[in-house]
Amino acid sequence: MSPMDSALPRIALVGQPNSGKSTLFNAVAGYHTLAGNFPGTTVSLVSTHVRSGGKIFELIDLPGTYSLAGCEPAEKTTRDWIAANRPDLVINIIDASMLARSLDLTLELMELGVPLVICLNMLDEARRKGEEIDLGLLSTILGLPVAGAIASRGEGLDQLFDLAWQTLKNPQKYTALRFSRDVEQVVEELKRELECVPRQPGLSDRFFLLKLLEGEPEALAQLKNQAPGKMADLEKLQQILKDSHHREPAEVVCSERHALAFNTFEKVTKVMPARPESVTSRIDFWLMHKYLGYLFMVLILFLMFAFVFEAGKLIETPLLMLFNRGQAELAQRLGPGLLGTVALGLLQGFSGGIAIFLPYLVPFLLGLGLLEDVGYLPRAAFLMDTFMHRIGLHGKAVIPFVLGYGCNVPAVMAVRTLENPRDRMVTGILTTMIPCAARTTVIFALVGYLLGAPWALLMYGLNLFVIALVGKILTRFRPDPSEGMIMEVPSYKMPSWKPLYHKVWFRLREFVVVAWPILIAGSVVLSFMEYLHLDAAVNRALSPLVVYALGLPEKVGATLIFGVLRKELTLIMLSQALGTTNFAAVMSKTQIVVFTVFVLFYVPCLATLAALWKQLQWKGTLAAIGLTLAVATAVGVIFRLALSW
Amino acid sequence: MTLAQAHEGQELTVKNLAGGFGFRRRLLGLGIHPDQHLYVLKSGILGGPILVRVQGSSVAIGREAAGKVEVELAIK
Repeated sequence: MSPMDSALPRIALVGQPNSGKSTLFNAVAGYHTLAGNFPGTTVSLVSTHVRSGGKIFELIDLPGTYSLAGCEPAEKTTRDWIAANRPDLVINIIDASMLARSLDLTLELMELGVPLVICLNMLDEARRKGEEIDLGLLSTILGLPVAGAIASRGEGLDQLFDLAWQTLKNPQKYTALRFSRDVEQVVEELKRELECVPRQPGLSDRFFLLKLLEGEPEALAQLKNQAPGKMADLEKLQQILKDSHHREPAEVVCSERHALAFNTFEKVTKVMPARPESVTSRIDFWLMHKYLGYLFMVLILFLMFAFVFEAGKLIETPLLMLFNRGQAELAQRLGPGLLGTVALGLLQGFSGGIAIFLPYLVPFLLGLGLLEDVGYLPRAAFLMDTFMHRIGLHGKAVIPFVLGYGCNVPAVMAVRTLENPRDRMVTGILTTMIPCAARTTVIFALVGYLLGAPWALLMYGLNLFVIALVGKILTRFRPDPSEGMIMEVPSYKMPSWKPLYHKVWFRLREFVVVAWPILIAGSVVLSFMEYLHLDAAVNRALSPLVVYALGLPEKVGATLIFGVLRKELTLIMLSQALGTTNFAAVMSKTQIVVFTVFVLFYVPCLATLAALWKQLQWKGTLAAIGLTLAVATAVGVIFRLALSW
Repeated sequence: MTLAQAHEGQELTVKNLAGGFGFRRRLLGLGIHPDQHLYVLKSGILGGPILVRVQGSSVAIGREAAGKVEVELAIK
């Protein structure tokens, strides 16, 4: 995670989630193309060069965090990054409409003793709430430079970076605000006791002492390691806090901090007479309603999918026509030789990528980005929490599931919004079993068309049931390490187009870079196989599964391999393999159902596998392949036996 | 009582937080402190989460987690 250019002053943005930190970052970074992307273990840091008033500095966007306790990935990343990299300045972004709560983090940053500038963002939001904040007074109380801004409109950013530059040139000394006398006495005492214990480099003395008193695991481990004899002294001092406050030491310190924050808030804020109920709570009355909320959710999702499919169809039809013509042309010109086959494979992979991402991914990401920016997704997570709980996950996991019905690729990418690795793993694997748009066509064309709509519905019901069952089993294997959902539900926001456009582009790029090349390569390999007439060998190799276990015609084997490349190919290859589109003539009812069920669950397509690899690495990818294969076979065999009996 | 037993529209005061260090710190970070005033906005059906208004923001807490937040009815 080395800086791009160590000669430039480094400024880090630190703030609570939803404080508009990234909006601010993008507002400045958007005009510069030099944005790097440094992947961390769980959260990635983004950095950019900023030019303001003729000066250039490096700006680093640290993950949003409520505190520096170091328990969660975001907290730990932020804290460790500051300790290791010692930025020249930290800009603490605060949602001005949440000043009382946000100052807790500010005070913690002050304990850390980093050079600090405060940015009160979303001043318009605070005004709307009827709060008028005295920036000058806040600056006096904290002893820190304070700037106001409305990042979403780009207001106040120049002044902010001016202030930052001035502070860089003449760093202001400040002291962290002091707690009640009895608590300070305990801190003093601890300081004397630990005089000779070496500190973690990069973190201030006061920060370390307070974290010890709070009982933060990492600080404790450090002390235990370096001066085990001092543990007893620490415990004695913790006991003093406990006895005088009748609370856990962590709460004592946090309450002290919060009391200071709240005091400061009350001094600097003039609250206007009560405002009418906010728009957000009026909307939430309906959208998060006990019963009606679910109705609205179905409606909203339905509208989104209708939009995606309609838009997709509109783009896909002419595209497919174009590609089919191109393919025919190519086949005619190059003939059936090696060159022609490989070129055809290349074209198929290339056009396959476009046929997925242009018609479906773009409208999908647009719709999703819109729901995300407006703030609907946390509401959906709230509503679905209870159902997801039954399969051992939380409400937040519902988002990838919903996405999966459009395309599994963005769905798998979305698992990164989940906090803990176990949830990401389970959700990522389960998501690949959701029938995407391509598999939906298989369900409709085979079962729906040949056996009737009730059978198609049954397939969807079965799918959900199996996913829930597998989820239940998987989560039993790995019990929940967290204590359930705790999630801030932010206010609704009017989406603005520029960030939305950036978001869609950012995610699209991921698909283009990761999944598309693999698709093209896979396509070429397959056409190679075809050229060498390996499909007969493949069919023979797969016959134990296809013929003996599932009771399907042997020729179907190679089709399933094509299905891994792209699920859309399943139907086309099936008709090619069987030499007819009249499937009912060559396959029995049982065979049609078993084939569909198998296709519904078995191995995700290559593009999805590539996304899985990126999110869950090889372990998750292999687990997904193995599990989906096992589930598909098991369900297929069950249906074969049940239907023939 | 705990927050898990709260009803929509109730005004509550936090008494105590149970659970591990990380869990408590998370609640504290969201403004849920002892003596803090809460307003119950929503209580999900079928053991769903609880939505509270705390210091001007809305926070959703799963029912199980809410069981670790000891509260009492606020005196008006």
